[in-house]
Amino acid sequence: MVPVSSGRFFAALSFAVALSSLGAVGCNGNDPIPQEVIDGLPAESGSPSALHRPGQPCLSCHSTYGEAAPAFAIAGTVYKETAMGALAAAPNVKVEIFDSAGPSRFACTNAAGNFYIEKDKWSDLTFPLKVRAGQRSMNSIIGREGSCGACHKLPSDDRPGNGAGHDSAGVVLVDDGDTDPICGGGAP
Amino acid sequence: MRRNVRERIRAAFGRRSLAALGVLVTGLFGLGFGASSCVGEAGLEAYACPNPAVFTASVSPYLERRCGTLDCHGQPTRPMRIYGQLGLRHPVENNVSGGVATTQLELESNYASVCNLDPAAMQQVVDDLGSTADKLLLVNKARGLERHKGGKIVNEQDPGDLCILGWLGFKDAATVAASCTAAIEPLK
Repeated sequence: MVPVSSGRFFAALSFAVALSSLGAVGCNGNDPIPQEVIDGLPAESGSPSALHRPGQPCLSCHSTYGEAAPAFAIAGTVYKETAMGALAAAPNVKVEIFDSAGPSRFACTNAAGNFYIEKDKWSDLTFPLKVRAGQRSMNSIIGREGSCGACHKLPSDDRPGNGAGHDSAGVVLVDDGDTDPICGGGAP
Repeated sequence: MRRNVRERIRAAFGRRSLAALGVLVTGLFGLGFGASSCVGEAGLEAYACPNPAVFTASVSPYLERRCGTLDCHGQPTRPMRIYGQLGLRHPVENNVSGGVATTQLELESNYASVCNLDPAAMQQVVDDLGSTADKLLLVNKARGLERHKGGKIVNEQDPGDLCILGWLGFKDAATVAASCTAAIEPLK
């Protein structure tokens, strides 16, 4: 083995580490901002399906970065309040999305309140968006985030009730019974 | 004993490594010292910027709706942070997104945020009464002429552009208000 001075050894080691870090930045799993969101999600309960992880930011995983299939253009969860004031999934709700370029599209919520439009089916989605869930329209536009759950956060200790807080609009809420026949529900 | 330890360290790492370590420690110390002596909030109070009353009455409401959504400049991690009723709420107040109207503190924070985005250029704009406003990042990012993650926000001479330029050009309050109101309307 050729003897190498410890100074040169450390310099070489530092260079190698820096080089490998540089390479890693461009790879999935190593972008700190989305990765922090993914790492902060609770563990999966059951197996992944269209009903899983309601209220969570879907596109954190269902995106080019997250690599979960299918990739979504837009996705989220809709809730209603029960007579006792608790949050419950709102199935059969029509969620209509108006983008800045073309005609609107809609999706229906499933039993978990989840809805989604796959990226392949709306590849030219143009922000900003306006959204209507059931009979309620969003008060603000969506600037560039496809996950409803990124801004409409679930309740937590510092955001009790419907999850509204200084950085959260609270979960997406519709009135109880606000379903649509086109989504398998009753009369609108 | 102490000499033995020093010799062992030298033998293990070499003089160059120790010197590099010394430089690193000195640098970190200097960084810490520098950070601890940052200008306080009081030192940031004096800055050049056009009419604050026109900004808070007309421009801020437009920026809040168009730029300050929770997924864009209504994020605490983004430059040019914008607070507002429908977006991020000021952390020292206990309001929630979608709750009470934008507060005076939030309006003042928005003014400081926008004015200090590009302070040298803004000083020039104030000095020449707005004739160099098209040099500002604020204007060029909104027009899509500078790299902007949110894309092109306004076209030249459309109501949103005129809202911002009118304020920067020291136009009267009624003229700016008319442009800003026209720019806000389609965002509702």
